[in-house]
Amino acid sequence: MHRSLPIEAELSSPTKRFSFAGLEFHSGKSSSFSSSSSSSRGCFLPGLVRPAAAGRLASRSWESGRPRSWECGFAHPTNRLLPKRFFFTPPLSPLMFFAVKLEVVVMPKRSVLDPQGVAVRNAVRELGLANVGTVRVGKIIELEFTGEPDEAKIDEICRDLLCNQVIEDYRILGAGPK
Amino acid sequence: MKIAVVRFPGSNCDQDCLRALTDGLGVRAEYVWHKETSVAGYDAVILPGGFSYGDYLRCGAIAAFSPVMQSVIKAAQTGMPVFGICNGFQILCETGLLRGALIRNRSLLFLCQPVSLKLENNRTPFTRLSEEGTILSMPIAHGEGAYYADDQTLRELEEGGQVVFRYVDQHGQPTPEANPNGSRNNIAGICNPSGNVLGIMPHPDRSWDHRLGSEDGLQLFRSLVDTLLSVAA
Repeated sequence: MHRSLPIEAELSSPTKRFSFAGLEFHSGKSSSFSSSSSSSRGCFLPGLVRPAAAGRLASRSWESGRPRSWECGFAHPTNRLLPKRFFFTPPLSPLMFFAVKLEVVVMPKRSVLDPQGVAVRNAVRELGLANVGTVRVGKIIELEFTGEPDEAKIDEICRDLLCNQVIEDYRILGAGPK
Repeated sequence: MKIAVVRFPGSNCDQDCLRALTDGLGVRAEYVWHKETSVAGYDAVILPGGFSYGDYLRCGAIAAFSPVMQSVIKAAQTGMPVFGICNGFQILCETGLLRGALIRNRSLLFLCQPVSLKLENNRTPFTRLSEEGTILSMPIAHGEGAYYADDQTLRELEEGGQVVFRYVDQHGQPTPEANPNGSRNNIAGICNPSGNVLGIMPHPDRSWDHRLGSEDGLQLFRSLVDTLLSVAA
Protein backbone atom coordinates (compact mmCIF):
# COMPACT_ATOMS: atom_id res chain seq x y z
CA MET A 1 0.00 0.00 0.00
CA HIS A 2 1.46 3.26 -1.07
CA ARG A 3 1.32 6.48 0.93
CA SER A 4 -0.54 9.25 -0.79
CA LEU A 5 1.69 11.69 -2.62
CA PRO A 6 2.20 15.12 -1.02
CA ILE A 7 0.21 17.96 -2.49
CA GLU A 8 3.13 19.76 -4.00
CA ALA A 9 4.03 16.73 -5.96
CA GLU A 10 0.49 16.50 -7.22
CA LEU A 11 0.38 20.09 -8.30
CA SER A 12 3.53 19.78 -10.21
CA SER A 13 2.58 16.56 -11.88
CA PRO A 14 1.95 16.89 -15.56
CA THR A 15 -1.41 15.11 -15.45
CA LYS A 16 -4.54 17.00 -16.42
CA ARG A 17 -6.99 17.16 -13.60
CA PHE A 18 -10.62 17.98 -13.60
CA SER A 19 -13.37 17.72 -11.09
CA PHE A 20 -16.88 16.50 -11.38
CA ALA A 21 -19.44 16.39 -8.61
CA GLY A 22 -16.78 16.93 -6.04
CA LEU A 23 -14.63 14.02 -7.16
CA GLU A 24 -11.27 14.57 -8.76
CA PHE A 25 -10.43 12.74 -11.92
CA HIS A 26 -6.95 12.39 -13.27
CA SER A 27 -6.25 11.71 -16.89
CA GLY A 28 -2.91 11.04 -18.47
CA LYS A 29 -0.48 9.57 -15.99
CA SER A 30 -2.85 7.30 -14.22
CA SER A 31 -0.38 4.74 -13.01
CA SER A 32 1.16 6.91 -10.32
CA PHE A 33 -2.21 7.47 -8.71
CA SER A 34 -3.64 4.02 -8.94
CA SER A 35 -4.07 2.15 -5.69
CA SER A 36 -2.48 5.02 -3.81
CA SER A 37 -4.60 7.51 -2.03
CA SER A 38 -7.76 5.56 -2.32
CA SER A 39 -6.58 2.83 -0.03
CA SER A 40 -4.91 5.15 2.41
CA ARG A 41 -7.92 7.39 2.76
CA GLY A 42 -10.40 4.56 2.84
CA CYS A 43 -12.08 5.90 -0.26
CA PHE A 44 -14.57 3.57 -1.84
CA LEU A 45 -13.41 4.38 -5.36
CA PRO A 46 -10.08 2.83 -6.25
CA GLY A 47 -7.61 4.17 -8.69
CA LEU A 48 -8.07 7.40 -10.53
CA VAL A 49 -10.79 9.08 -8.63
CA ARG A 50 -9.95 10.69 -5.32
CA PRO A 51 -12.53 12.65 -3.35
CA ALA A 52 -11.43 16.19 -2.63
CA ALA A 53 -10.92 17.02 1.03
CA ALA A 54 -12.43 20.21 2.35
CA GLY A 55 -9.34 21.39 4.18
CA ARG A 56 -7.09 21.77 1.21
CA LEU A 57 -9.45 23.44 -1.18
CA ALA A 58 -7.76 26.76 -1.68
CA SER A 59 -4.41 25.33 -2.52
CA ARG A 60 -5.76 22.76 -4.83
CA SER A 61 -8.48 24.76 -6.48
CA TRP A 62 -8.01 24.67 -10.21
CA GLU A 63 -8.56 28.35 -10.66
CA SER A 64 -6.75 29.35 -7.46
CA GLY A 65 -9.76 31.39 -6.55
CA ARG A 66 -12.61 30.80 -4.18
CA PRO A 67 -13.75 27.20 -4.09
CA ARG A 68 -16.47 26.49 -6.60
CA SER A 69 -19.39 24.25 -5.84
CA TRP A 70 -17.99 21.32 -7.73
CA GLU A 71 -14.73 21.55 -5.83
CA CYS A 72 -16.33 21.56 -2.45
CA GLY A 73 -16.35 17.91 -1.79
CA PHE A 74 -18.53 14.92 -2.28
CA ALA A 75 -22.05 15.72 -3.41
CA HIS A 76 -24.08 14.76 -0.41
CA PRO A 77 -26.90 16.52 1.37
CA THR A 78 -24.87 16.73 4.58
CA ASN A 79 -22.08 18.65 2.88
CA ARG A 80 -22.74 22.21 4.01
CA LEU A 81 -20.16 23.65 1.64
CA LEU A 82 -22.30 22.91 -1.35
CA PRO A 83 -24.94 25.47 -2.21
CA LYS A 84 -28.51 24.42 -1.67
CA ARG A 85 -29.40 24.63 -5.32
CA PHE A 86 -26.98 21.79 -6.00
CA PHE A 87 -29.36 19.31 -4.49
CA PHE A 88 -32.14 17.62 -6.34
CA THR A 89 -35.51 19.24 -5.86
CA PRO A 90 -38.43 17.17 -6.98
CA PRO A 91 -40.57 18.68 -9.70
CA LEU A 92 -44.18 19.56 -9.01
CA SER A 93 -45.75 16.19 -8.39
CA PRO A 94 -48.91 15.40 -10.36
CA LEU A 95 -50.08 13.58 -7.28
CA MET A 96 -50.64 16.96 -5.70
CA PHE A 97 -53.60 17.42 -8.01
CA PHE A 98 -55.47 14.13 -7.38
CA ALA A 99 -57.84 14.93 -4.61
CA VAL A 100 -60.00 11.84 -4.16
CA LYS A 101 -58.83 8.26 -3.78
CA LEU A 102 -61.10 5.24 -3.94
CA GLU A 103 -60.27 1.65 -3.27
CA VAL A 104 -62.35 -1.07 -4.88
CA VAL A 105 -62.06 -4.44 -3.16
CA VAL A 106 -62.90 -7.37 -5.43
CA MET A 107 -63.39 -10.73 -3.74
CA PRO A 108 -64.46 -14.09 -5.16
CA LYS A 109 -68.02 -15.07 -4.25
CA ARG A 110 -68.37 -17.47 -1.37
CA SER A 111 -70.08 -20.00 -3.62
CA VAL A 112 -67.08 -20.18 -5.95
CA LEU A 113 -64.29 -22.56 -5.05
CA ASP A 114 -61.16 -20.48 -4.53
CA PRO A 115 -58.22 -22.89 -4.84
CA GLN A 116 -55.78 -20.09 -4.27
CA GLY A 117 -57.49 -19.34 -0.96
CA VAL A 118 -57.37 -23.01 -0.03
CA ALA A 119 -53.64 -23.14 -0.75
CA VAL A 120 -53.06 -20.04 1.36
CA ARG A 121 -55.19 -21.47 4.14
CA ASN A 122 -53.11 -24.64 4.22
CA ALA A 123 -49.94 -22.60 4.38
CA VAL A 124 -51.34 -20.46 7.20
CA ARG A 125 -52.21 -23.59 9.15
CA GLU A 126 -48.73 -24.98 8.59
CA LEU A 127 -47.26 -21.78 9.96
CA GLY A 128 -49.13 -22.10 13.23
CA LEU A 129 -52.63 -20.59 13.06
CA ALA A 130 -54.54 -23.82 13.51
CA ASN A 131 -57.94 -22.27 13.96
CA VAL A 132 -58.03 -20.47 10.62
CA GLY A 133 -61.25 -21.06 8.72
CA THR A 134 -61.97 -19.92 5.22
CA VAL A 135 -59.35 -17.92 3.39
CA ARG A 136 -60.15 -16.10 0.18
CA VAL A 137 -57.79 -14.13 -2.01
CA GLY A 138 -59.05 -11.05 -3.82
CA LYS A 139 -57.64 -7.84 -5.20
CA ILE A 140 -57.71 -4.12 -4.48
CA ILE A 141 -57.87 -1.58 -7.28
CA GLU A 142 -56.95 1.96 -6.33
CA LEU A 143 -58.34 4.83 -8.35
CA GLU A 144 -57.23 8.41 -7.90
CA PHE A 145 -59.43 11.20 -9.24
CA THR A 146 -59.06 14.92 -9.76
CA GLY A 147 -62.15 16.38 -8.23
CA GLU A 148 -65.28 14.45 -7.35
CA PRO A 149 -65.96 11.32 -9.43
CA ASP A 150 -69.42 10.47 -10.77
CA GLU A 151 -70.90 7.86 -8.39
CA ALA A 152 -73.14 6.19 -10.94
CA LYS A 153 -70.30 5.87 -13.42
CA ILE A 154 -68.02 4.36 -10.80
CA ASP A 155 -70.61 1.67 -10.07
CA GLU A 156 -70.94 0.94 -13.76
CA ILE A 157 -67.18 0.64 -14.21
CA CYS A 158 -66.95 -1.64 -11.17
CA ARG A 159 -69.76 -3.86 -12.43
CA ASP A 160 -68.57 -4.04 -16.05
CA LEU A 161 -64.80 -3.96 -15.89
CA LEU A 162 -63.30 -4.27 -12.44
CA CYS A 163 -65.54 -7.09 -11.21
CA ASN A 164 -66.93 -10.12 -13.01
CA GLN A 165 -70.27 -10.45 -11.32
CA VAL A 166 -70.54 -14.15 -12.17
CA ILE A 167 -67.69 -15.01 -9.84
CA GLU A 168 -66.84 -11.89 -7.84
CA ASP A 169 -68.33 -9.25 -5.57
CA TYR A 170 -67.01 -5.75 -5.11
CA ARG A 171 -67.17 -3.11 -2.44
CA ILE A 172 -65.86 0.42 -2.53
CA LEU A 173 -63.77 1.82 0.29
CA GLY A 174 -63.58 5.57 0.00
CA ALA A 175 -60.29 6.73 1.38
CA GLY A 176 -61.50 10.29 1.13
CA PRO A 177 -59.48 13.33 0.20
CA LYS A 178 -55.73 12.81 0.28
CA MET B 1 -65.77 -16.44 -48.22
CA LYS B 2 -63.51 -14.81 -45.67
CA ILE B 3 -62.96 -15.78 -42.05
CA ALA B 4 -61.59 -13.28 -39.56
CA VAL B 5 -58.98 -14.28 -36.98
CA VAL B 6 -58.92 -11.51 -34.37
CA ARG B 7 -55.59 -10.50 -32.85
CA PHE B 8 -55.24 -8.85 -29.47
CA PRO B 9 -51.98 -7.71 -27.90
CA GLY B 10 -50.83 -10.99 -26.36
CA SER B 11 -52.75 -13.43 -28.57
CA ASN B 12 -50.37 -16.22 -29.55
CA CYS B 13 -52.54 -18.86 -31.26
CA ASP B 14 -53.58 -16.57 -34.07
CA GLN B 15 -51.11 -18.11 -36.52
CA ASP B 16 -52.26 -21.64 -35.67
CA CYS B 17 -55.88 -20.70 -36.31
CA LEU B 18 -55.00 -19.04 -39.60
CA ARG B 19 -52.89 -21.98 -40.76
CA ALA B 20 -55.58 -24.49 -39.83
CA LEU B 21 -57.90 -22.60 -42.17
CA THR B 22 -55.53 -21.67 -45.02
CA ASP B 23 -53.31 -24.76 -45.07
CA GLY B 24 -55.66 -27.31 -43.59
CA LEU B 25 -58.74 -26.35 -45.59
CA GLY B 26 -57.55 -23.90 -48.23
CA VAL B 27 -60.03 -21.15 -47.33
CA ARG B 28 -59.39 -17.42 -47.11
CA ALA B 29 -58.66 -16.19 -43.62
CA GLU B 30 -57.32 -12.82 -42.48
CA TYR B 31 -56.03 -11.27 -39.29
CA VAL B 32 -58.14 -8.52 -37.79
CA TRP B 33 -56.37 -6.24 -35.32
CA HIS B 34 -58.23 -5.48 -32.11
CA LYS B 35 -58.47 -1.80 -32.98
CA GLU B 36 -60.57 -2.41 -36.11
CA THR B 37 -64.13 -1.25 -35.66
CA SER B 38 -66.00 -3.62 -37.94
CA VAL B 39 -66.01 -7.30 -38.88
CA ALA B 40 -68.95 -6.84 -41.23
CA GLY B 41 -67.06 -7.99 -44.32
CA TYR B 42 -66.34 -11.44 -42.89
CA ASP B 43 -68.43 -14.59 -42.75
CA ALA B 44 -67.17 -15.92 -39.42
CA VAL B 45 -64.91 -14.79 -36.59
CA ILE B 46 -62.34 -16.82 -34.69
CA LEU B 47 -61.06 -15.56 -31.33
CA PRO B 48 -57.73 -17.36 -30.86
CA GLY B 49 -55.97 -18.37 -27.68
CA GLY B 50 -53.14 -16.64 -25.88
CA PHE B 51 -52.75 -14.09 -23.13
CA SER B 52 -54.59 -11.03 -24.40
CA TYR B 53 -53.50 -7.93 -22.49
CA GLY B 54 -51.31 -10.17 -20.39
CA ASP B 55 -54.39 -11.58 -18.63
CA TYR B 56 -54.36 -8.37 -16.60
CA LEU B 57 -57.26 -7.88 -14.17
CA ARG B 58 -58.92 -11.11 -15.39
CA CYS B 59 -58.35 -13.25 -18.47
CA GLY B 60 -60.10 -11.58 -21.38
CA ALA B 61 -61.53 -8.79 -19.22
CA ILE B 62 -59.86 -5.94 -21.07
CA ALA B 63 -60.15 -7.57 -24.51
CA ALA B 64 -63.92 -7.65 -24.04
CA PHE B 65 -63.92 -3.85 -24.26
CA SER B 66 -61.74 -3.49 -27.35
CA PRO B 67 -63.29 -1.84 -30.44
CA VAL B 68 -63.35 -5.02 -32.50
CA MET B 69 -65.32 -6.90 -29.84
CA GLN B 70 -68.14 -4.37 -29.98
CA SER B 71 -68.52 -5.24 -33.65
CA VAL B 72 -68.19 -8.98 -32.97
CA ILE B 73 -70.95 -8.81 -30.35
CA LYS B 74 -73.31 -7.09 -32.79
CA ALA B 75 -72.43 -9.58 -35.53
CA ALA B 76 -72.99 -12.53 -33.19
CA GLN B 77 -76.39 -11.18 -32.26
CA THR B 78 -77.33 -11.21 -35.96
CA GLY B 79 -76.22 -14.82 -36.31
CA MET B 80 -72.60 -14.70 -37.54
CA PRO B 81 -70.65 -17.77 -36.36
CA VAL B 82 -68.14 -16.85 -33.67
CA PHE B 83 -65.63 -19.42 -32.41
CA GLY B 84 -63.70 -18.67 -29.21
CA ILE B 85 -60.75 -20.94 -28.41
CA CYS B 86 -59.18 -20.90 -24.93
CA ASN B 87 -58.55 -17.17 -24.33
CA GLY B 88 -61.26 -16.56 -26.94
CA PHE B 89 -63.69 -18.54 -24.77
CA GLN B 90 -62.68 -16.41 -21.79
CA ILE B 91 -63.30 -13.24 -23.81
CA LEU B 92 -66.73 -14.49 -24.95
CA CYS B 93 -67.72 -15.14 -21.33
CA GLU B 94 -66.51 -11.69 -20.29
CA THR B 95 -68.58 -10.03 -23.01
CA GLY B 96 -71.67 -11.94 -21.95
CA LEU B 97 -72.14 -13.69 -25.31
CA LEU B 98 -71.66 -16.92 -23.38
CA ARG B 99 -72.81 -17.42 -19.83
CA GLY B 100 -70.60 -18.38 -16.91
CA ALA B 101 -66.92 -17.69 -16.35
CA LEU B 102 -63.55 -19.42 -16.46
CA ILE B 103 -61.62 -19.51 -13.19
CA ARG B 104 -58.23 -20.73 -12.00
CA ASN B 105 -57.58 -24.46 -12.39
CA ARG B 106 -58.37 -26.40 -9.26
CA SER B 107 -54.80 -27.70 -9.01
CA LEU B 108 -53.45 -24.14 -9.43
CA LEU B 109 -51.18 -25.59 -12.12
CA PHE B 110 -50.89 -24.55 -15.75
CA LEU B 111 -51.95 -27.67 -17.61
CA CYS B 112 -50.52 -28.53 -20.99
CA GLN B 113 -51.72 -32.01 -21.95
CA PRO B 114 -54.03 -33.87 -24.34
CA VAL B 115 -57.58 -34.49 -23.16
CA SER B 116 -60.48 -36.62 -24.38
CA LEU B 117 -63.66 -34.77 -25.22
CA LYS B 118 -67.13 -36.04 -25.94
CA LEU B 119 -69.12 -34.12 -28.53
CA GLU B 120 -72.65 -33.75 -27.21
CA ASN B 121 -74.28 -31.25 -29.57
CA ASN B 122 -73.93 -31.49 -33.35
CA ARG B 123 -76.43 -28.75 -34.13
CA THR B 124 -73.92 -25.91 -34.19
CA PRO B 125 -72.14 -24.70 -37.37
CA PHE B 126 -68.91 -26.07 -35.91
CA THR B 127 -70.08 -29.59 -35.12
CA ARG B 128 -72.54 -30.34 -37.92
CA LEU B 129 -70.29 -32.81 -39.67
CA SER B 130 -69.67 -34.86 -36.55
CA GLU B 131 -71.72 -37.52 -34.83
CA GLU B 132 -73.05 -36.96 -31.34
CA GLY B 133 -71.13 -39.02 -28.85
CA THR B 134 -67.84 -38.95 -30.79
CA ILE B 135 -64.76 -38.86 -28.62
CA LEU B 136 -62.10 -36.42 -29.79
CA SER B 137 -58.55 -35.86 -28.60
CA MET B 138 -57.24 -32.31 -28.35
CA PRO B 139 -54.61 -30.57 -26.23
CA ILE B 140 -55.36 -28.07 -23.49
CA ALA B 141 -52.95 -25.37 -22.40
CA HIS B 142 -54.33 -23.12 -19.70
CA GLY B 143 -54.02 -21.99 -16.11
CA GLU B 144 -57.53 -20.58 -15.82
CA GLY B 145 -59.87 -22.91 -17.64
CA ALA B 146 -62.25 -24.26 -15.00
CA TYR B 147 -65.75 -23.45 -16.17
CA TYR B 148 -68.01 -22.05 -13.48
CA ALA B 149 -71.65 -21.07 -13.53
CA ASP B 150 -74.18 -20.99 -10.73
CA ASP B 151 -76.63 -23.87 -10.28
CA GLN B 152 -79.46 -22.14 -12.11
CA THR B 153 -77.33 -21.32 -15.16
CA LEU B 154 -75.86 -24.80 -15.20
CA ARG B 155 -79.30 -26.35 -15.19
CA GLU B 156 -80.39 -24.14 -18.08
CA LEU B 157 -77.29 -24.99 -20.09
CA GLU B 158 -77.72 -28.73 -19.60
CA GLU B 159 -81.42 -28.73 -20.34
CA GLY B 160 -81.00 -26.47 -23.36
CA GLY B 161 -78.33 -28.72 -24.85
CA GLN B 162 -75.84 -25.88 -24.78
CA VAL B 163 -73.02 -28.06 -23.46
CA VAL B 164 -71.12 -28.98 -26.61
CA PHE B 165 -67.97 -30.64 -25.27
CA ARG B 166 -67.30 -32.45 -22.03
CA TYR B 167 -64.10 -33.87 -20.54
CA VAL B 168 -64.42 -37.68 -20.52
CA ASP B 169 -62.18 -40.67 -19.97
CA GLN B 170 -61.35 -43.17 -22.71
CA HIS B 171 -64.68 -44.91 -22.19
CA GLY B 172 -66.62 -41.72 -22.67
CA GLN B 173 -67.58 -41.22 -19.02
CA PRO B 174 -67.28 -37.74 -17.48
CA THR B 175 -65.43 -38.90 -14.37
CA PRO B 176 -63.67 -36.58 -11.90
CA GLU B 177 -60.33 -38.11 -12.95
CA ALA B 178 -61.03 -37.12 -16.55
CA ASN B 179 -61.62 -33.51 -15.46
CA PRO B 180 -58.24 -31.79 -15.66
CA ASN B 181 -59.11 -28.41 -14.21
CA GLY B 182 -62.17 -28.65 -11.95
CA SER B 183 -64.77 -27.40 -14.45
CA ARG B 184 -68.30 -27.80 -13.17
CA ASN B 185 -70.00 -30.81 -14.78
CA ASN B 186 -66.75 -31.50 -16.70
CA ILE B 187 -67.76 -28.81 -19.19
CA ALA B 188 -65.11 -28.10 -21.83
CA GLY B 189 -67.15 -26.05 -24.29
CA ILE B 190 -70.55 -24.40 -24.52
CA CYS B 191 -72.60 -22.52 -27.09
CA ASN B 192 -75.24 -19.81 -26.89
CA PRO B 193 -78.95 -20.67 -27.25
CA SER B 194 -78.97 -20.03 -31.00
CA GLY B 195 -75.82 -22.10 -31.45
CA ASN B 196 -73.80 -19.67 -33.56
CA VAL B 197 -71.36 -18.76 -30.78
CA LEU B 198 -69.13 -21.58 -29.51
CA GLY B 199 -66.44 -21.34 -26.87
CA ILE B 200 -64.11 -24.21 -25.96
CA MET B 201 -61.02 -24.42 -23.80
CA PRO B 202 -59.10 -27.15 -25.75
CA HIS B 203 -57.21 -26.24 -28.91
CA PRO B 204 -58.51 -27.49 -32.27
CA ASP B 205 -55.93 -25.15 -33.81
CA ARG B 206 -53.23 -27.37 -32.29
CA SER B 207 -54.79 -30.59 -33.52
CA TRP B 208 -55.55 -30.01 -37.18
CA ASP B 209 -52.85 -32.21 -38.65
CA HIS B 210 -51.52 -35.65 -37.84
CA ARG B 211 -48.06 -34.07 -37.45
CA LEU B 212 -49.43 -32.24 -34.41
CA GLY B 213 -50.53 -35.48 -32.80
CA SER B 214 -54.22 -35.33 -33.59
CA GLU B 215 -56.40 -34.38 -36.53
CA ASP B 216 -59.63 -34.18 -34.55
CA GLY B 217 -59.63 -30.41 -34.40
CA LEU B 218 -59.79 -29.97 -38.16
CA GLN B 219 -63.33 -31.35 -38.16
CA LEU B 220 -64.57 -28.29 -36.29
CA PHE B 221 -63.11 -25.91 -38.85
CA ARG B 222 -64.30 -28.11 -41.71
CA SER B 223 -67.85 -28.03 -40.33
CA LEU B 224 -67.71 -24.26 -40.14
CA VAL B 225 -66.52 -23.90 -43.73
CA ASP B 226 -69.10 -26.41 -44.92
CA THR B 227 -71.88 -24.48 -43.16
CA LEU B 228 -70.74 -21.18 -44.66
CA LEU B 229 -70.58 -22.69 -48.16
CA SER B 230 -74.03 -24.25 -47.86
CA VAL B 231 -75.50 -21.00 -46.58
CA ALA B 232 -73.89 -19.04 -49.37
CA ALA B 233 -75.10 -21.48 -52.02
